[in-house]
Amino acid sequence: MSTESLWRLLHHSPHYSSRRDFLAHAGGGFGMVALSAMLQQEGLIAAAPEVNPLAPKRPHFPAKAKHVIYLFMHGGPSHIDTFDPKPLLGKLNGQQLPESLRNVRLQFTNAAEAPLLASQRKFARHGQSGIEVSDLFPNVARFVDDLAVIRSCHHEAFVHGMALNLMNTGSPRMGFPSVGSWIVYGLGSESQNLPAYMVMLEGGTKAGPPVYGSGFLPATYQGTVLRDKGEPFLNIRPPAGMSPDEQRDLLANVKWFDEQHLAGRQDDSNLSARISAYELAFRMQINAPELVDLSKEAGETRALYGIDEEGTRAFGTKCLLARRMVERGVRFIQLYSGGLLNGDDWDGHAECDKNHQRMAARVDKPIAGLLEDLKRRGLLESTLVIWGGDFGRTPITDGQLRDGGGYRGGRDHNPYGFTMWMSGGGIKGGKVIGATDEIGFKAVQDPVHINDIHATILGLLGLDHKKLTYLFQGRNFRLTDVGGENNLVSRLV
Amino acid sequence: MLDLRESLRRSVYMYAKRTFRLPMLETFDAPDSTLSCARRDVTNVAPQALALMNNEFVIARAREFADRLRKLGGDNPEAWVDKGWEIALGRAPSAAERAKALAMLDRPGTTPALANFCLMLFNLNEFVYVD
Repeated sequence: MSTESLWRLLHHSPHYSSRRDFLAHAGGGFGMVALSAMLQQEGLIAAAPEVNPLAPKRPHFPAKAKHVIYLFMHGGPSHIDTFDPKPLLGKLNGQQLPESLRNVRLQFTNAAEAPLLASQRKFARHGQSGIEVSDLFPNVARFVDDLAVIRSCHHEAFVHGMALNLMNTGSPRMGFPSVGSWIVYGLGSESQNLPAYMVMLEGGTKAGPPVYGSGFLPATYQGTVLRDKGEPFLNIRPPAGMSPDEQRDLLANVKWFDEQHLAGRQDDSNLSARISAYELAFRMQINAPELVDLSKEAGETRALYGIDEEGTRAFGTKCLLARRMVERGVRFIQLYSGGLLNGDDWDGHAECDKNHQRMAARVDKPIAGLLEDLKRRGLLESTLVIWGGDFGRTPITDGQLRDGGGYRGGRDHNPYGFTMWMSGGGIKGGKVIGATDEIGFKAVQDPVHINDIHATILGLLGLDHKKLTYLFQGRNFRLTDVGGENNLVSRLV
Repeated sequence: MLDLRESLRRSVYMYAKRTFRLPMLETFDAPDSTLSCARRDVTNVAPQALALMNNEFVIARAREFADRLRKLGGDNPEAWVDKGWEIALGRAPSAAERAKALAMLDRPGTTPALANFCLMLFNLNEFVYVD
């Protein structure tokens, strides 16, 4: 092993927390013992194994953001009906695509056949910046001067499963760590009482739990699902009939016997790690119910999020919980609008306009409420809010026909050009980055790949996406794989 | 109605959906089944403690373990402790451990003391880690 590769191994794989670990990985056997001892003295590897994998860690450089709230519109919201106006599309309604775009591959639609479909939405300029937003988001539009609208996002997958994986893990394949897992792996947890990475679903995702999984990172970095019915977390309530006193006694006994057992086994850090895990578990039991108890929130705050209105209650509650999580030190929070159930997410294959009116009505007020509440509490400064979905949607009509013939007035999946926006976390708002072509099909100006988005998110949190690596199957992996060159941080802050 | 004779069996092999990890196994670091796994991670985190403290499956096993000890030891709490130690930990308790355990069994409470004692055994480091 060359000195250089050894250096890389040590610096880019914090996983080698112990001498034994290092030796096992280095594969050098006994020949490496002396070197390992030397490095230990130099402080290059830890003398004792790291006890808590969630201990707070320093970022690579000063961070702008400490927390992330990722608002995920499951199914894929249409950029051309929301944040990316295309007046020309209105004029070309019903015509064929230009020759140059007819061979673009889509999931359900033959681009050589399906005609262009104008947006039925009205766009208007908002705020000082004058950024145009459609009438689907009248409330979010009030905060346009706090948003950086990235209109040139793109990736490679026109199918939900792969797109969900890409948006969340940077890879179209299953099994890679999600953004939140990388961030918690890089920064550790700020909270002593709650998980560092929490997810709020609406019935699951089309790519399943891997989109908030830890992939090949240790399982401790995976997202914890906050359940919307019953107890907020699995196993959070003591057994039926057991009083808090009884449980405290039981745990005190566990600790007593564990400490007896620990005597003479101090070199095994797993044992003391397990004892501290019980202490955190007990604190979580107390703090989780407090987190989800919204009764102490002012009526005015509840109204801001639309919690007392039928249509916005579900997503508004999630948004308010997200703010409470930020206040309690949760690092990464992901909220889904829509989920597994076809027709109950943003997947507007038929009557896209009606679908989006229904879906946007559920989230517009809650999202605006969240931005306002974070802002007035001084939390937006340190909290990065991200809005996006699987992909955007096509400017041509969806190619699937209704029974009896005729197009259904929907839009197919479009990963070639779509919009995401970010706010807070040190971002100066009122900005538009990049552009799609004149009909909104492809990102043409300043394209921002999903790897670039991920590099930007890590960058705002003080992490260098090229340095945050994990050795797996013989090579150092990173969230951005070999991409992420168009890191937007310097242009956003 | 759940037929216990049907469900309480050891699984030699079983139906598994690739993207769905069994919650209990996932809590204890079962690898992601969408990838090959050369080396398993081992973590010691709070959700594992919560699962062993509160999970219904674990509680039910503790109750059944308590029934078994009662069958083996009759009305003799000392026999419960010794048998419990032997079955769960593969050794006899020390005098100090036996005294502590007996004090636990002597405590009145809303849940049966013997079942709590068994639950306590499942939560010990010594039960989870083999020397």
